[in-house]
Amino acid sequence: MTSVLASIAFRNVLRHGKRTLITALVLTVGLGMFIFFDSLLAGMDRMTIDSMTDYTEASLKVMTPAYRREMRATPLDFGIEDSEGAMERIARAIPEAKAIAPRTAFIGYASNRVDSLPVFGTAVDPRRDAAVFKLAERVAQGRWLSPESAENEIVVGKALAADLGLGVGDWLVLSARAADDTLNADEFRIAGILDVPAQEVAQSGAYLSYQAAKALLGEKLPVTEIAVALPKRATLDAELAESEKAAAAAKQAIPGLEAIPIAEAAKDYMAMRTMKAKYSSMIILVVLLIAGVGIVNTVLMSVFARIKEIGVLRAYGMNPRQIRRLFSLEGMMIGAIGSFGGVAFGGLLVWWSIRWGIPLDKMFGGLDMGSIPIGGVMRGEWHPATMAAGFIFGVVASWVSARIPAKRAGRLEITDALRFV
Amino acid sequence: MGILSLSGITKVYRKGEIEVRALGGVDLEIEKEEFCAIVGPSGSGKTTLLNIIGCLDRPTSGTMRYRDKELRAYGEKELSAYRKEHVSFIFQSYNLIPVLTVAENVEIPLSIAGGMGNPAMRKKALEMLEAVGLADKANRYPRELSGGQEQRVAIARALVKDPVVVLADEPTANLDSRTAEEVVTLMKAMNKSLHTTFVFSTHDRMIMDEAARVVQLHDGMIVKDERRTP
Repeated sequence: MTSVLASIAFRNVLRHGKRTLITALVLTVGLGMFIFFDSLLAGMDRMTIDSMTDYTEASLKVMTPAYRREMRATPLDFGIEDSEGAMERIARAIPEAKAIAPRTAFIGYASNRVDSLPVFGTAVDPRRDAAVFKLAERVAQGRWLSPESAENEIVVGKALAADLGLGVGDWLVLSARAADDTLNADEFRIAGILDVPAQEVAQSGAYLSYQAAKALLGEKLPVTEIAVALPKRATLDAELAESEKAAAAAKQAIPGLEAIPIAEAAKDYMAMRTMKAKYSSMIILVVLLIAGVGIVNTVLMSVFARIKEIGVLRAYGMNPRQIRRLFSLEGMMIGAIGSFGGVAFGGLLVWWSIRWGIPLDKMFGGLDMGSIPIGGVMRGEWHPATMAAGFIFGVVASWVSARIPAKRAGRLEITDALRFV
Repeated sequence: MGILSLSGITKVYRKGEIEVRALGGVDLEIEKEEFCAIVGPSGSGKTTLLNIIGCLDRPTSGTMRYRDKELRAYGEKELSAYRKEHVSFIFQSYNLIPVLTVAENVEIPLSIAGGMGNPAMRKKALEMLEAVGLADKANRYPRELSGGQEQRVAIARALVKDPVVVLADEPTANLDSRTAEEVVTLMKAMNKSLHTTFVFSTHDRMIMDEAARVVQLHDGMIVKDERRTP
């Protein structure tokens, strides 16, 4: 019986090709756009978190609990004792770690002798830092810090250099409060200018070697943060999970210190991500609602066009439940066609966004969007789970929508149906 | 006693405040293997009577027994089962399902009845199409057939499940006289060869003449019940 119902339903879907196509098209476009935007949002999440891991936060950071509490003020009083020993223990606890590097953050002022601007300074080990972060790869002019250089060198963000009107080779005066709380200042030659999508680096990032930083901030300059880089994973969720796992392992290896995974470092963004996911699920609800109305209409038209047929099938013993199933199947088939089209259309757009990407530089160049990177090329991300969920939701919503006219068909009196002209 | 027995059957339709009495107390016995015509002018209650016999409609009052079982007490499920297994219908406008092929249309009652595999259903449908002379049209669609051919397919569809009773409402009304004669001859042949009871309504004098029994209705009442040798 099911096969004959399916056969009649399928052929009616094909018979009214235009009607089917128009209804399915609504679902195709809606679902396709949902899949595409979901992919772009995932791509944006990936880009933002990647930007954080590549330029500011690493996959995880280790610090003292006291430093963590005061982190915004970047105090130099709560450094990690025996930082080299701690790094060795972390390396043993996280064998998959790509690289580990020490850092000391501080707040200072950069001046061109006329104007001065606040900066987030970071003392780094140039070689080890380049293995953890990608700053060295994003030097637009000049070069990254040289470990061998005897000169006071500094690498600054592009926007900061532009605001101060300085270029590579120019001297910059950097002032900051030293570890002993005295205010020091020194001159640094700009070795390189960074062009990175992270706005905080571009606008106020200043990097100098430990050797140069010690001259400014004191010989006993402590390491305040240990940054750990983990290998990239195919999806952001996998990467976040990996970071959590590594942080737990690091915590066990270095009692008394805190290991902060990227998800925690980016908790504000992660909260925004959760909110975005809610809004994105609202988009699919609207899409399904519109498609549902279309399907109700199409199946209702089908019921009216085939009232006599319903009468004949009832006369031959088909019961109301089977009639309802016939029209529900029809709606479900239209939904399946539309949903399949939506997955294919969405997949095509996702492929395009991954293959070619959206050039943010060209579209939003110079726009400040806080922690959201607005440079480079934004690419989508494959989300098979969203595609599968979209397909299932599309089919189920179509089936539910078709139930309304199907119930009406099931309620028809046989004699009325047979008399219908 | 006949296979179908109707006693005091009335049917009243209500249209707002107005009551229309379609049947006003019909007593009728249908014998097994009968070839019975229900005749009468338009509005005399022929279609209503056939609908009630086929359990497509319920009478307002009266009793109807099929093989000595009272049908009025049946629920929707039992009535569906009765229609599925024991009666078949032939309609004036054929009512074939346009998206199905001729063979698939004939298979429909078997699919609804269930209990038969696809190859067996196809075999039975082809046998029935052979019997009505349309085996070569098995894979055609209804739109590719003439009116007479469509009605022959409808007859094959009605007979494919070996029903006890076939109810036909004006089966020749949409056909020209020559095709109508062919259709009635076919129905009669099936009545003889398959021992199926046929009850049909008609206006057509020529078809009435073919019937072994003619029940005449007027204003919802049987005014004449004539058995004869055609």
